[in-house]
Amino acid sequence: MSIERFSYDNKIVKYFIIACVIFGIVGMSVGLLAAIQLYYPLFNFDIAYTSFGRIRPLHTNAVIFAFVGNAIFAGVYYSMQRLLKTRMYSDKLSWINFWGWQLIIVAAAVTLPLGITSSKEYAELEWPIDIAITLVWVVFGINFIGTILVRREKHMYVAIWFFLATLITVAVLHLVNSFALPVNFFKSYSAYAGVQDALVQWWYGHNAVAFFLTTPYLGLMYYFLPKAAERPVYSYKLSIVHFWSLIFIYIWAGPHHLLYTALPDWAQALGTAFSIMLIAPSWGGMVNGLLTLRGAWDKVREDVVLKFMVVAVTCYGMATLEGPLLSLKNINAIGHYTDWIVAHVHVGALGWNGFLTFGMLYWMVPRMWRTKLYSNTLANTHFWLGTLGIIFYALPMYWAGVTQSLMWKEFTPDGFLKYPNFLETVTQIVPMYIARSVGGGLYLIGVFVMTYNLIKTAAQGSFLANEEAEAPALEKAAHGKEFWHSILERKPLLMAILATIMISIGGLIELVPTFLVKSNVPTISSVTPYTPLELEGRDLYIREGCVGCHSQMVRPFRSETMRYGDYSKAGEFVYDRPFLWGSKRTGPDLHRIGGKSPDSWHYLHMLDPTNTSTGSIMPKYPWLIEDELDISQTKAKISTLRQLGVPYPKGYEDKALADLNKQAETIVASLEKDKIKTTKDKEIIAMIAYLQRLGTDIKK
Amino acid sequence: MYKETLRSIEGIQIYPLVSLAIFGLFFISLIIWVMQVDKAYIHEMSNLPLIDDQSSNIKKKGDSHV
Ligand code: HEC
Repeated sequence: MSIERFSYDNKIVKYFIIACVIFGIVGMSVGLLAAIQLYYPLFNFDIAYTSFGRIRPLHTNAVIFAFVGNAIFAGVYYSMQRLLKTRMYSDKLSWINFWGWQLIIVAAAVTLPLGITSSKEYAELEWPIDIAITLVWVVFGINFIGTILVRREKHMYVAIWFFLATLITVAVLHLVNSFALPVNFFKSYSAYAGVQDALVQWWYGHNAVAFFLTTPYLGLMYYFLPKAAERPVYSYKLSIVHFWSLIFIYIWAGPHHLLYTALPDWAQALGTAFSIMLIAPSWGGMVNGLLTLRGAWDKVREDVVLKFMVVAVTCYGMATLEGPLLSLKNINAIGHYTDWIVAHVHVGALGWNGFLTFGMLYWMVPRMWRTKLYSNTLANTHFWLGTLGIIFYALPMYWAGVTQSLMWKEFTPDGFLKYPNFLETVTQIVPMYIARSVGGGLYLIGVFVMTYNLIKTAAQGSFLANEEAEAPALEKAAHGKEFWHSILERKPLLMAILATIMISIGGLIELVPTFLVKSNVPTISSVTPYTPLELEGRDLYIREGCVGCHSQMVRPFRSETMRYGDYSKAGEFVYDRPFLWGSKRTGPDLHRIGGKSPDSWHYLHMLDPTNTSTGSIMPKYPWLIEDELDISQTKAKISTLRQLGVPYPKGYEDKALADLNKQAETIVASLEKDKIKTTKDKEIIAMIAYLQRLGTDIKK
Repeated sequence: MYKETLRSIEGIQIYPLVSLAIFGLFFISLIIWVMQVDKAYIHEMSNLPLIDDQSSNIKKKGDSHV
């Protein structure tokens, strides 16, 4: 058995760490800005690029794909080399992975404020960036599988399995959800429409949480927690059960995001059942993490790395208990569309992802720079700032969510809504919004403290770019008695295929009926495609990210039908590409807004919402009033949509502009009656056309 | 109305049933396997993150612990 010498690539890890910290600060700062905008609309700056609807996806994308994404790569590149006793398969691929990922982030940071978005949550980036993501992910995949193939350790530790599941599932999710037909370089229409689009999107959205924010972090937990505690994981057997049941069950639970929507009952029930089952493996994982520290709690008191990790794992446990509970219909009825969900998400994001990342960074940086941490006191300060931050974030949001939900549902003794004015339920919780931003602010200050501490640590140490190591070469021929799964481990491709099959079954069982639906939905005969002007208005609605504050899905509750009108039917959305049901009601539902108020109301409201609604926290949209509507793509949009199956008559694109103008003129005329002077070529005209159309088809 | 539509898809009920059955079978086999697996193997596996230091711990005098 020959001993081979090689070195671990620390430089790539260093770069991912730097990117992680920088984008963490950027992403969280943008989040803080968005939080402040919600009680101080002045901070929308009355500029398109910084208004809430565009800033919110920038925040979510930055923290998920830039902060967490880079943390994943840093942790994977660090742990994988050491667990498999080899350098990464190819330095070149590592660097393409790094720079490719950062370019994608920059592209996102430019396009999202510009309003170039698909508007599907956590998949907002337009198709050229989607393709870039695919390419970079393939590069990561080749490097990953390559590293497994050249490894010197015959067994693959459970962390590698979690990484592998991440690699495969993210690829599948991204590909399926991103199907769209381009209109031009910056605009595409979803290949799916309405209910179908919603199902695919939340199958994606849910599993993005599972396989981008959870499985890779579990892999990191299973590596870094034992490292930091200097003892093996509590139960390796439990970790195996944890792994397989988690990836199996997670993928099936997607429909719980659409409870009470126009989704078939059985799909909702299936989603709920699997969500509840999900508690078991999740808690298995949490218990496994916490029990790893049994008998070492004195260490936890002293070691800040372990402190961060304990809180992280605890938050993982809380979030994964709360998630399944939220998928119960009666709890969901209260929590959905409210700030409760925002609280839930942030317990996971700030606690689990953030704190595990911080613990990992505090552990890796001194080792890679061959020194001690610059200041334990500062690290402890960070720990307390972060913990307080999470509490000050989560508690007000829970309070706000429940309060607002109850107000939405409260009736007077005579059977009328107690708070018929939606805005009343908003102003009630504004103090909670203020408290939340204090929490977020504390958390962000903590990150600055960490950054300073890490920079000082690096400055006092000397960075080891290539860490020498040696290990015996891997024996090729396997002999002796084998277990089926150690065979699996040794045959990573087989393992990859099995994991793919695993996650595909869940996806297919959910998606196949969804695809069958299309031919079975009897189109409600009065539901017709959008007119060219309405279509352009809808694309403005997408551009501005109105979906970040407004749902378009009236649930079949008395409290909702009384407030908004008839509940939403599946057949009403057959021409919605993408669907715009939304997930958060910071403003009222808009599905039945058509015909509710005169055109002039909308004009004044969009110019400055406080014109019509005193104390409104909706941003102003003065540019919609001033800017001319771009109609250069209208023709292309019509023909793209027809290719996707929207029944515009043949050759309609040539008449589209004439129709658009005619409809615009009627709106200009109606505005003029209310003494508002404008011209038919303005964006606001298209927006009004769209809003007035919404939800009116079934009344025809 | 859409519910009726879905119900009219032939064999729609089979999907949730199939999924539960597959999971059940898989889960039971997993548990059985885990219960009979070799202890030494489990021990070796769980120590993988820790032994990487020892086997690759050359020229690491400066490596200090926080
Ligand atoms: C920061 C969250 C937010 C964003 C972003 C937002 N709104 Fe609003 N919207 C509200 C709130 C809060 C209200 C209720 C108070 C009011 O009428 O202004 C509201 C009310 C409305 C109403 C009146 C609803 C009714 O039932 O009378 C319409 C129409 C509307 N918004 C359209 C839009 C459009 C179009 C966009 C995107 C260009 C948008 N909103 C973006 C928060 C938002």
